[in-house]
Amino acid sequence: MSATTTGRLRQARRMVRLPAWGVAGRPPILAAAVCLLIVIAAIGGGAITPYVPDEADFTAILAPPAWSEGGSWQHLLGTDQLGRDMLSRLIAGARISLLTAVAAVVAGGTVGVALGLAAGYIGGIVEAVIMRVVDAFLALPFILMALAFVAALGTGVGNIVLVMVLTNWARYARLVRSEVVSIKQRDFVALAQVAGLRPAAIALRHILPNVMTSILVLAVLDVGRAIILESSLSFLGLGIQPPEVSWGLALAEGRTYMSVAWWLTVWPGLAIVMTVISFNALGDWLKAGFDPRGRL
Amino acid sequence: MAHAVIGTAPTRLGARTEFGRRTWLLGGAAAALAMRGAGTAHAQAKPPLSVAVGTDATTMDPCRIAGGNDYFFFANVFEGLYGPDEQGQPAPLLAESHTVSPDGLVWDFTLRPNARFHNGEPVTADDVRFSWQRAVAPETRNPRASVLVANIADVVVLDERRCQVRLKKRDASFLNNCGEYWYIISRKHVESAGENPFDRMPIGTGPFAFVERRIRSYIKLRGFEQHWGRVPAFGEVTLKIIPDDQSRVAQVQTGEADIVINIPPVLAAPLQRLPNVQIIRAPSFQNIYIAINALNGHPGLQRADVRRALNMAVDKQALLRATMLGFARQIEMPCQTGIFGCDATVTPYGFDPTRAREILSQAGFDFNRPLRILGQGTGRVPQARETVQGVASFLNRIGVRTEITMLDYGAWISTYGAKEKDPNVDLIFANFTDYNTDPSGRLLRQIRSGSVYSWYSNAEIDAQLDRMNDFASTEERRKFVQGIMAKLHEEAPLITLWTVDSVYGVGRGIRWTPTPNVSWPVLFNVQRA
Amino acid sequence: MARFILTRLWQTLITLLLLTILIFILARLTGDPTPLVMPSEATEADRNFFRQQYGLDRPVYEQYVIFLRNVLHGDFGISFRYREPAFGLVLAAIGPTLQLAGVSMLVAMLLGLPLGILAALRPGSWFAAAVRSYASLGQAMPTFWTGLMLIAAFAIMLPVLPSSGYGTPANFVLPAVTLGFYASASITMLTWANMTEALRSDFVQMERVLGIPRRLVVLKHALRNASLPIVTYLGLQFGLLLGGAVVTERVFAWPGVGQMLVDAILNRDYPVVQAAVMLTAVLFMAINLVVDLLYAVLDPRVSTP
Repeated sequence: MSATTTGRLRQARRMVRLPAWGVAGRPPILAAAVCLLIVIAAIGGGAITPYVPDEADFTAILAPPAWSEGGSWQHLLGTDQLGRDMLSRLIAGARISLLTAVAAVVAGGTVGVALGLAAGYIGGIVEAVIMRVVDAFLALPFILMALAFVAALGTGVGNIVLVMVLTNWARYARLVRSEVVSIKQRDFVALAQVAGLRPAAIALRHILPNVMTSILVLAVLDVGRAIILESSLSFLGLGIQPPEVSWGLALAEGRTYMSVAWWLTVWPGLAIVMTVISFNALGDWLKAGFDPRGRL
Repeated sequence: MAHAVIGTAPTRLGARTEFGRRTWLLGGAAAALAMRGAGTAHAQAKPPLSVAVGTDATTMDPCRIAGGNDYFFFANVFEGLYGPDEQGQPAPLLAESHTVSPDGLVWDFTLRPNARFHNGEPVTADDVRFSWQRAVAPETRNPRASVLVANIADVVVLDERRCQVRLKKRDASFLNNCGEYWYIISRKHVESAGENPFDRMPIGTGPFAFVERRIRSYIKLRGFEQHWGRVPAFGEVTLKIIPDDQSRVAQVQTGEADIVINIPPVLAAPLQRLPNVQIIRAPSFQNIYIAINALNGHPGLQRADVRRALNMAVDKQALLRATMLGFARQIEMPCQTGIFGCDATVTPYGFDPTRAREILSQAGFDFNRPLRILGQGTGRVPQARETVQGVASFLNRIGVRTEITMLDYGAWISTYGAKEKDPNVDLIFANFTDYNTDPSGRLLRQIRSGSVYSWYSNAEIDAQLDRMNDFASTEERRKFVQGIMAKLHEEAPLITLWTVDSVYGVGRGIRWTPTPNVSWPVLFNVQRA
Repeated sequence: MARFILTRLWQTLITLLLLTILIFILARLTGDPTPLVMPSEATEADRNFFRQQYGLDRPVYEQYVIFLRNVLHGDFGISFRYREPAFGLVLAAIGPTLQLAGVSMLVAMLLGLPLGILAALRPGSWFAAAVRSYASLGQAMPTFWTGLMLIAAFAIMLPVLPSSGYGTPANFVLPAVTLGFYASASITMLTWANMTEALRSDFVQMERVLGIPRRLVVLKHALRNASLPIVTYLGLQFGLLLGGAVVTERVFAWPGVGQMLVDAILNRDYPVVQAAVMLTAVLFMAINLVVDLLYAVLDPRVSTP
């Protein structure tokens, strides 16, 4: 695609999230609080769960949440079909869900940024090759791509992260490359070149910082997307496998029991939705602050 | 009416319909015959039936069947000389009687006079011969020929209704396997329909005839009015293919389907409370177990006492109640009630975790090395994940460490059925479905060393298994098989768990007793209430 | 202009070639399909014949060359599972997917466009806040969850709609609403943003000053200026819906390409995996290409790269 068309289309796509209130505006306190909570849960992981998330207890299967009839305060959010505590699974799930999403974003972002930088700065044949590969990867809707990779690599936490990295890096590469191309023209870069700085140094120390804000915004908005992708994969049975637990997996497992035990699907579903909304709100606010005109 | 009889090819398959003049002439003749027979008028008056199934048939060619999943189609559209009756026991179907020579090698069959193909043609001994020829022909590439048809030396046509089957080797499982491994097809149909005759219009003799199909969406059948004895109470039958459990079950809740098959246990209980749905269970032959790698895994597993102890460590009843909600029957042996020779007398393993731990310690079991368990992640088998996790937690309680890896079905079966067994796998969750009451299927393909799914090796048992079918007397064979089963119980190559019940959801307007001991729906006896 | 078109076509071709390599490698990496295709009763001879028949015993690069040559003839091989040409199977499945994508697109537009326009006309009101929440929710709810909730509500509790399957117009409702809701979220925000910007533009302000009634201004100018990016976005969204409907197809037992792909992957059915991915990718890229060209034609400010 031509640079201008790309720019316009990207503008069109990015305008998706431009909030209606003014530049920066109110910081989203609630969203930030939720994000913080999730992060704490993720870091705490097994240490802060009331029960071992994977321990089966056949005497208490499908117990409803504490406030419902038949529930007990022993299991605040109820238990699943093997008697495992839902609250513990939710917390443990936060760890895996968030970890996979963040790892995918960070790793995918790093790879994508590196390649995008190289493509944008070096130009020529390197740029052409990289961008064609980027196009190939972007030619597929992400879940299709993810499925094909999962089929090839297998399931499990490590592989899922790898799959998400593979489906994700191209967007960063494309973004960074076009930013770099436009920054490259600017005076300070010309000055640096004249001053004799090595290309790598110019790229890393002068160009990259200018691109960081866009990358950051994209990354934060990406976390939500990655969580949904992982939960979709797990729903299809091709994502996280037991005894690990992620929200997507909990949803997939609980789904069969939906008509008898609503709490098995509602808690993980709510967790996903709340987390994604919060990260998106945070990302929107960041974008409004750094880039109100939607230059991205 | 002529349409249905000739068989207008379903254009949705994308294959061009090519019918030579001969077919049209034959079709015309068949149509005339059908018109004369009482039939088509009735078919119009009979109500429709819709059944929601979980997987599509991968083929409609009886010589290309690749697995048990396809039988929901074949068991209703095709028949063999013998096959399961309403109790799941072998009974005469297309043949009305048979005699067998004392040495067990020569079988004479007399066909029913009123047996017909779906195109109206009578079933003759020549068709039986042709069915054998096609099933063993190299160009047909029948992947299951080795079980039955490859053992037939010749089929001699004695007269129009009598044929003589000569076997190469004596095979006690022959009659039983006729029901699933040797379907009778029409020579006229195959020879006139050109290439891939069954892809566009499969012609069989079963209670239901094929009408049309949309791959992965539905298969339409019609009640075959001229069937020799099992004329269905329904006219048009639609088999809707809905892989997703939840969506499939919803079909009977909303009344969109009259029957839903393969209901996961958890969904069955709440359905029972609905006024417009009945839950019907029937025992099936789908076995669930944990295969033990007695070849090259954890060294402790190569001892029979350790394997027995593992069986003792799992509270199978509790696990069954918890994961299968009672929709299964616990089994002790590597076979279940109803299988020939399974009624051997043995002392049950019992549930005794303390004793199990003792045995392991005495045997010098290495508790530091975890047992690696392979499970099935994607839900082809109900509660597969939960079962593995449950077994693992029981093992954990006696101090055995476990590491579970869940794989999707493709990866799982590649490992389970691999030629060289993976030494990094110690226990594998598995299921095996017997097609009929004969034990040789499972024993030869899952226990005998060197077979596809065997993770166990014992020369003495192998020798016995190789002789298992070489009997003329049923009683002698029964004793022999009982002996094998008792020995296998002692050897414990598996952690035996249970057989899954077939759970059907049926609308209130339907009356049905599903055939027990088959793992697919046999629909000819479905009635309106 | 012509140069632009040629360049784009050329780029597309290279990308397609790379895609074939990618797809080929991925499919081959899924492992040996023999245990899945061959029943347990098959002999070793049967298994070897199968491997030979599908060229699985030849070196990888040779398999790729054969694959590429066949693809150029539109032949993706015979499905391992169904023993029918893979391309035909996928083609039959594309129909339902396209239909669902189309109807979902309609739903998304019917929801998103009016909401976006109205929100832009009433900034800061409770209505705008509600629309923002709607959009947030739409992007955050996984489609399978939405689908399940809808089935529970409208097919089970209130049995007014079919819960799954394909065939009647009624079957379209729940899946199209599920996907449409998801797609409408981004359309809403995009329309809102573009309308806001268009409303703030100089000549719109000018017309307001001149006293031309608000409605006319909105309809004539703001809409027209906002429409171009929206139209291009709709095109992109359609492409996304094509592939992204995988999960929805699963929930509603929709016999489309997405379901077919998931099944094929689980069954190691290489030919179908390759055909499905290739076809979807080609469609997606074709849509992108058309959108690009349309943009180039409609927006005279676009210059050649």
